[in-house]
Amino acid sequence: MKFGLRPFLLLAAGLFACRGAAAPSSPPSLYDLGRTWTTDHGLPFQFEALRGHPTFLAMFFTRCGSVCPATVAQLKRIEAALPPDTWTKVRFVLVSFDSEGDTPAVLSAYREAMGLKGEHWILLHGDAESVRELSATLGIAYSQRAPGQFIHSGLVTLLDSTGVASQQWPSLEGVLQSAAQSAGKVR
Amino acid sequence: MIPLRILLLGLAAVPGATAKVAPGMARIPAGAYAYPISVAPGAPTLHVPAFELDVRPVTNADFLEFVRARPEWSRSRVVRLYADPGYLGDWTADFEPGPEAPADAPVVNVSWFAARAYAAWRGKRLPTIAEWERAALAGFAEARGADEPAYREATLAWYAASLPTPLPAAGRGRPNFYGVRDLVDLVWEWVEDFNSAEVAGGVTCGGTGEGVRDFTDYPAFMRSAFRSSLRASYTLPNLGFRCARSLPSSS
Repeated sequence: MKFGLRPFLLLAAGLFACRGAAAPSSPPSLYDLGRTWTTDHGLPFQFEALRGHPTFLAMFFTRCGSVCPATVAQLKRIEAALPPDTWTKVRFVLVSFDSEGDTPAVLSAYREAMGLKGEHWILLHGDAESVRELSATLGIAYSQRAPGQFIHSGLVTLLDSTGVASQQWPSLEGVLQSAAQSAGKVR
Repeated sequence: MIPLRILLLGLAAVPGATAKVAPGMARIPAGAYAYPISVAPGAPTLHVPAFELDVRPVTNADFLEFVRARPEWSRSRVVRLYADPGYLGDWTADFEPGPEAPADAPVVNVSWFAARAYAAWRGKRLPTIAEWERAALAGFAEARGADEPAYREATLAWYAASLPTPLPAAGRGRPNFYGVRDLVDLVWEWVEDFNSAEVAGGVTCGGTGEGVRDFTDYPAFMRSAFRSSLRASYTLPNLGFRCARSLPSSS
């Protein structure tokens, strides 16, 4: 057991460090990543543009046949369940893992196919480095298996109106009704 | 005479090739890599192009240079998203590693973001899991360390030992087959894609079974488990990094 002990002690150290993270300075905002993405309209986009808007964020790829369409369907259900006073404020952001395949034009076709109507739905393409950084920041694991094929963890993140990740849900759990309520409660 | 000339040319080509490697780096030839644990059964073996890897981990002295040039990465100024409060926790002050962090010891307590920023500042990048593991597959004398009992024992002995403080100097470990040092005898190291879906998490798309390819490589399992427990802002007293570089021809 001596052999296995050390990494677990280290894991404990990691958790400890994490738990201490809330105290000393302002909580980390995703806006600090400062990367520039491209929307499905071909326009540059920075997360800073989400300031003031509670945002549901998920990562996906257009050729995903299982978890991703289900995640989008969940997000649409959240949209429909939003409290009336919040639905004009809330944004839905989908960021693709597929830097090569999911060009703005492909994302635009996906928006059409999935019926994502309105500019509060934001579909983003980024370079491989930005995608790796965003996924690592959100704690989303992914690997490319073949061109256009990825395995990834399915997570929906709620960012508050300052870009701080306030809650996360596995995208296949049926908890997203409460997520809609959460969007009305975050700062 | 002709065969001899060819032989001499062959010999001459070897130092020529090594001379092109950047100082402080070693060249790892192209080859195949398969994750020891695979989420999707039948996952493909990756082709890893030849690349260059730092011979030793980045030291406190190296990192001090970076922090001086990019003070936004100093202890008191780093953005909280990029590093937890333990960042450079063994240093005495913003620009002072101090007695617990000797100049020639590997820098630790650095986040993935900080390691990445350092690498970019040097005109390099972090190695991928496949690259790092390919380099670490080599033994002292052979390209396959698994065939070399002395190497396997040395590696396991390090994983079983506790962490010395302060850490010993980087670059003093026995070089492996490629001339790379300290891969498995000094600190754990960040890699670019540490958050790869190597191990099935709670909810993973695209694969349902876990397939273990090779039950014998315990260190690789441990590294895999360790990486999957990390977040990009974490800092740990035994986690450092080294840089890599693609070859111009392969990129």
